[in-house]
Amino acid sequence: MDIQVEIRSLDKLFSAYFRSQNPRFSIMKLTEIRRFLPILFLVLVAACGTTTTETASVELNCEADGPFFEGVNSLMTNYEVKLSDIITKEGIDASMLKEVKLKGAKFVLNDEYLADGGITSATLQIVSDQTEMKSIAVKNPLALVDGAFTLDVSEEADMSDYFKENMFTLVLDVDLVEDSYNESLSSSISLELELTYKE
Amino acid sequence: MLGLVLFMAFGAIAQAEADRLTGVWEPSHGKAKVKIDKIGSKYYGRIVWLKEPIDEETKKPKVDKNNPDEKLRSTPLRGYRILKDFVYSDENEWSEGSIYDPENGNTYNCVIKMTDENTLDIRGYIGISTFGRTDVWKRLKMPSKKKK
Repeated sequence: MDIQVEIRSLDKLFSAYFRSQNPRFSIMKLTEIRRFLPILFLVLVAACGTTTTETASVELNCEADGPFFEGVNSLMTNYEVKLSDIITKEGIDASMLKEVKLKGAKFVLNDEYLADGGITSATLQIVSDQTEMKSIAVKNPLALVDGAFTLDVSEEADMSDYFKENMFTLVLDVDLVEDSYNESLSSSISLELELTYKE
Repeated sequence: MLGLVLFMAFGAIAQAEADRLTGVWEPSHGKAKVKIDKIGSKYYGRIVWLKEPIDEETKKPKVDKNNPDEKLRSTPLRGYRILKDFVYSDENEWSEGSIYDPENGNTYNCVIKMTDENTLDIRGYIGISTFGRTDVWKRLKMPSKKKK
């Protein structure tokens, strides 16, 4: 009953407004507008869902085959997105994701020689089939402590588009001081994420 | 069975055609060399050589000091991916990618056209490709070993 009263008063409001703009505005058009009011109401209700932010950790291992040459070499890994593994709340799907921010990126190299000052800088990028490559973290110069290093993360980069796909690729570019004839090079990756979703 | 074999053969030919973009290329200004390689199904180009690798002000290796994201301004220019996300469309053309200009920090839409095996027309533009600028890049050839 109250809603009907509301709608009637909205009708009057619309009517007064449109007549002031265009005197030929017909009552017929007002009826058409009223037809869309329930949809508008539903849109407003949907927009008022609860927004939740939680942190999550992702552990990965990236690698590349040697030999490696002085300068930038790339280590890569694919990540298969499974939101139920990283979000504690059940039933959250990709369409509910609003924002995914990288809060921390830590790496541990498996190579003793390189771990001892063999790398001068590192850049982490993310890419997928549907979404363009984006730099998300960097460290230059690089300070290695027992083969471990932490990158400075971009505060602007939003990774949510990548988490809406089935899979994405992480590309770690490391700048080597000199050639290395190792068969392979790998590093463990630990990413701290902040995920915001709307229920 | 024959259909599958033919399909695979055509796929391999198309792949080889697309992969002609890989290699080391030199822009017309001669200040850098860019290596194009493939990640997944797309092509990326990164700076592998700089004519002047040291910044005159800092006396250190050049970094991406014009990056719009302040946190990423320490990224070294040598190794920087300035060509991103190119997909082979057809007729010697790679599109849907972007090119980054480290001298002003701007990223432009970009189309790459291979005019011959050793020459690329790199067209950067904003909005539609009519309004843009084309630069000619040459493939860097490895010096062949002389026979004794």
